[in-house]
Amino acid sequence: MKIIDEIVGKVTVLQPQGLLDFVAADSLKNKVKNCAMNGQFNLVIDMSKVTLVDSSGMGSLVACLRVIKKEGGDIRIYGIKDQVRALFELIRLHHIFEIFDSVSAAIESFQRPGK
Amino acid sequence: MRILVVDDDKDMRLLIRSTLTGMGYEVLLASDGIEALSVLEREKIQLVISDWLMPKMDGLELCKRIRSSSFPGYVYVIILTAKDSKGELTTAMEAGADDYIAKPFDKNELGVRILAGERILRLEMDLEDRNERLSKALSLLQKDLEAAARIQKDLLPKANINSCGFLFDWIFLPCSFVAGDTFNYMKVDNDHICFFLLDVSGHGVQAAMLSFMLTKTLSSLILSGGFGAGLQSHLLSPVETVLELNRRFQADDEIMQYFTMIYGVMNIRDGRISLVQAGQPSPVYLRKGGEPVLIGSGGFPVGLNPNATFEELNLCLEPGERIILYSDGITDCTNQDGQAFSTERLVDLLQKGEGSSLRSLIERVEKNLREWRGSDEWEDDISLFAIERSIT
Repeated sequence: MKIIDEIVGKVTVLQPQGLLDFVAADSLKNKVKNCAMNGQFNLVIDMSKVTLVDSSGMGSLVACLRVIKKEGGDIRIYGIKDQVRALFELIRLHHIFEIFDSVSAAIESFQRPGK
Repeated sequence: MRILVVDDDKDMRLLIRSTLTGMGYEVLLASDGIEALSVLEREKIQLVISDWLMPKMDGLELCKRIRSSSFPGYVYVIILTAKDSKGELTTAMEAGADDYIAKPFDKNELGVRILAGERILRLEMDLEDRNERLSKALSLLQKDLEAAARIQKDLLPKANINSCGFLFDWIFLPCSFVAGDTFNYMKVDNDHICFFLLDVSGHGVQAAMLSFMLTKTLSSLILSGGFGAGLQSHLLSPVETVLELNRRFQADDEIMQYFTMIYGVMNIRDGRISLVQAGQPSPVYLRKGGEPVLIGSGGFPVGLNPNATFEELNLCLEPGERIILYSDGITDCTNQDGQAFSTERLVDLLQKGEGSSLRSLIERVEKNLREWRGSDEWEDDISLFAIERSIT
């Protein structure tokens, strides 16, 4: 899976593209582990280019969050499409992840006091 | 190695034979293409050295025939020719020759060309050997998987069975041999039946292993809770049961395998059901003479979140009413245009089956799903588990 990354101040934005499934799950996890190793703990995952997420893909998102939370960081999410959002809500991932309507709001959320 | 020498010139045949015999090869002779083919059919030959121009069937035609035949191993062909132009050589190669030697030939050159041929033949034999071992391994794996699939199916309840005033029926279509989906029900005491349908993330063997284990754990959890001290019922509530599973099966960070499930307890005397929806699609409650109701709006899956809490949902199954549990393999099942079957289509289909028997409803859903998919290959495991309270 192709994952574009961009550093905006203290925040790293990852943009996975296409199908987030069993195969892509590992790419995303590895990418996030790399970020953690480079000291990038504030991540935004831009889901606007993700067409579909299956159960393994959902698992990988939570695995990524675990990795980053261990380092005291967080993953914020932006741009989930309707079909993906329905699945997020079914398995209550919107209670685990903070989801934003714009990439700038997601990035700015890391500047909020206490975060 | 056995070499067949094909030449209409007897002196040439004998000359080549004596050269090759001197090199330690076993040599057979033929005087034209037709004779050569009949030798090839009788004998195991690995390498052919053939003259180009011969009566009856020339070297090129012989090459073509060899390539279109199905001799057991690869036959390496060297064409002997007085022609030495590029165009002629291309023609020979196109006909299927592997190499050529210009006449008059040098003994050493002939030896080297044959050695090159031997190298190719050895590679070819290695490959064939590896292929054979691979296909043996594959067929063993396949047999193992078929056996596992049978065991998994045997663990499911009997289809269309009537028990304690309730009818149970189901659909189960794994997308590979074995599935991460499973379901079952169990009578735990005189008053209660527990039931579940679960869907392990991913599919195939990895998911099936966890689903086997979960079935076993769930059974012992239900039964040990059901008959505590003094045969007093200590049946765990659905929330307690799912919390316990969530405690025991937290996903490992690397593998990140979790599952979604519906777990319910039903009172068989009055049809009251309490259930937990742990990330599983909402069950469809088919009321008598009313609109179908989707029960619940979601919930945490089991194993993803150690602090997950679960909510109990309640309903009462009146005589003649049904509740349908299913995996997202059904609602997400895409047709040739990539369109999903959808919850709406499933609910509509279930509603239309109100007057018919549970069996014919189940058959209709399966038939519709197969037609929708247009193939026997599923992207995800398909399962549906239905309960109907009989009219007494």
